[in-house]
Amino acid sequence: MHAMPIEPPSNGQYLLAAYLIGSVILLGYFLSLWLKSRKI
Amino acid sequence: MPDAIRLALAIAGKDIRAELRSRTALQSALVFAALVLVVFNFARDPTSLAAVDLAPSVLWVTFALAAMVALNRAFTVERENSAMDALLLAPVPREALFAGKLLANLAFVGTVELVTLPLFVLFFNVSLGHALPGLIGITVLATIGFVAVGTIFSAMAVRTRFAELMLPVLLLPFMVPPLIAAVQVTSRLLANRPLSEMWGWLRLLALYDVVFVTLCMMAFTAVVDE
Amino acid sequence: MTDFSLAAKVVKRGLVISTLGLIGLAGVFVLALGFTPVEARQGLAQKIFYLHVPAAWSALLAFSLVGITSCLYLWLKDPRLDRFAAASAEVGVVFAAVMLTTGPIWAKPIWGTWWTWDARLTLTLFVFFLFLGYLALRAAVHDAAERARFSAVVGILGMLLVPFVHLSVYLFRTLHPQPIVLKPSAPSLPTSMLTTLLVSTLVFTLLYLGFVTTRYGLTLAEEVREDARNAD
Repeated sequence: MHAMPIEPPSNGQYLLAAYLIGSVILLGYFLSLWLKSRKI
Repeated sequence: MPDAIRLALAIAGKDIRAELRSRTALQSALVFAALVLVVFNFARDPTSLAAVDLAPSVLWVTFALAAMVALNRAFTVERENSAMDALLLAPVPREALFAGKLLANLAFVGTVELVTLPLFVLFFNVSLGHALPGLIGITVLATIGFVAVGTIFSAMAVRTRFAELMLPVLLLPFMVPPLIAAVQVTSRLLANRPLSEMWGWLRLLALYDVVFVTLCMMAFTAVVDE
Repeated sequence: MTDFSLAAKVVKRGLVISTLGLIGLAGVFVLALGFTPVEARQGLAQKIFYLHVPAAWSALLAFSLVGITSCLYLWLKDPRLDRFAAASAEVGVVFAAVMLTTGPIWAKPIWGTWWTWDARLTLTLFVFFLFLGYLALRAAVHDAAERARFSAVVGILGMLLVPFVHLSVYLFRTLHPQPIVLKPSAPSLPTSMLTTLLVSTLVFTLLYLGFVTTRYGLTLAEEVREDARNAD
C-alpha cells in the first residue's frame, strides 16, 4: 500500500471570492475613469 | 532669552489667557471626557473583565478623544476672533508661532487630563499611588505627540468647510503610535512592572515626539502662509 | 498642440496602458489557476497570494510616491507634482482596497481568523486611512494653491508616520507572545510560484502606471476646462 499524497483542503470558494472582488474593484475603477474620459 | 522663545511664550500666554476668560474649549472637553468615562463604565460588564485590565485603554481613549475636542474648539474660537490674522501680518517667525500654539494647546489638553484622571480613579476604582509619577511622565510624552500633529492639522482643518469632521479624519492615524505606547506603558506602570519592560515603548514615543514636533514646526509656515 | 488636446492625449495613453494591464490581469488569473501548482497545505486559497501581494506592493508604491512628490512640491512648487500626488493617492486607495479585501478572504481559511495585526496588513490599513484623509482634505479645500500646500504637508507627515507604525507593530509582537497560528511559511518559493508572483507584480505596476496616467490626464483636462470657463 503506497503512502497517500497530502490532500489539500478544499477552499476554492475563497479563491473565487477573492479573485472576483479584486477584479470588480480594479475593473470598476477602470470603468469610472473611462466614463469620466467620455465626458471631457 | 532668545527672541523666538520669548515670542512663543508670549503667544502661548495670550492664548491661555483668552481661554481662561471664555473657557469654551476647556468646558467642552471636560464634559466630553466625563461623559466618555461614564459610557465606558456602563458598557463594561464588571464580572467579566477586571477594571485594571481595561483601565489603561479606557483612560487613553478618553484622553485622545478629549484632546481632539479641545484642539478643535481652540482653533475655532481663534478663527471666530480673527486673532490669527493680526499675528500673521506681523513679522513673527512661523516656528515661534507654532511653538506658542503648541504650548497653549498642551496647557489646554493637560488641564483636561489633569481633571479627568481623578474622575477615572473614582469611576474605575483603580489605585494609582506608586504609579503616579510614571503616569504623569507618560501622559506628558504622549500628549506632546498628539498635540504637535493636532496643532498643525487643526490649523488646516479650521480653513475647510467640515472642520469638526476633518480634524479626526486626519489626526486619528497619527494618534495611534503614541496611543499604543501610552497604553502599554500605563498598563505596566499599574501592574508595577520594572522599567526595563517599558523602555522600548518610551524610546519609541520620545523619538516620535522629536520627529513630529520638529516636522510640524517646519511645516507650519506652509499651512498659514500664502 | 493646445493644452486640452495634450490632456486628452494623456488620458488616452493612460487608458491604453490600463487596458493592457487588465488584459495582463486576466493572464495572471490563467497563469495562477492553470499553470501554477497547488500548495499542499493551504490548497486553492493560497492562490489569492498572487493578487494580494502585488496589490499591496502597488498600494505602497503609490503611497511612497505621494510622499516624495509632496516633499518635492513644497520645495519646487510645481503644480504638476501636486496633480501627480493626487492621482497617485486615488489610485493607491483602489489598490489598498484590493489588498484589504483579499487579505481577510485569504486569512480566514488559512489562519482561521479574518484579521491579524501582522505588519503588512496593519501598515496597509494605515496607508488606506491616510489616503482617505488626504483625499477628504483635497475635496474640502477649494483654493488650488492652498489645497496643494495642505495636501503636501499631510503627504509628508503621513510618509513619516509609516515607520512608526511599523516599529509599534514590531515592538508589540516581540513583547507579546502571539497565539500559535498555523502560519503558511514560504521560506523559499518554488520557481513556478515565484514566476507567477513576478508576472503579477509587473501587471500591477502596469495597472498603477495606466491608472495614474489616466487620472492625471483627467485632472489636467478638468483644470483646462475650468481655466477656459473663468477666462470668459
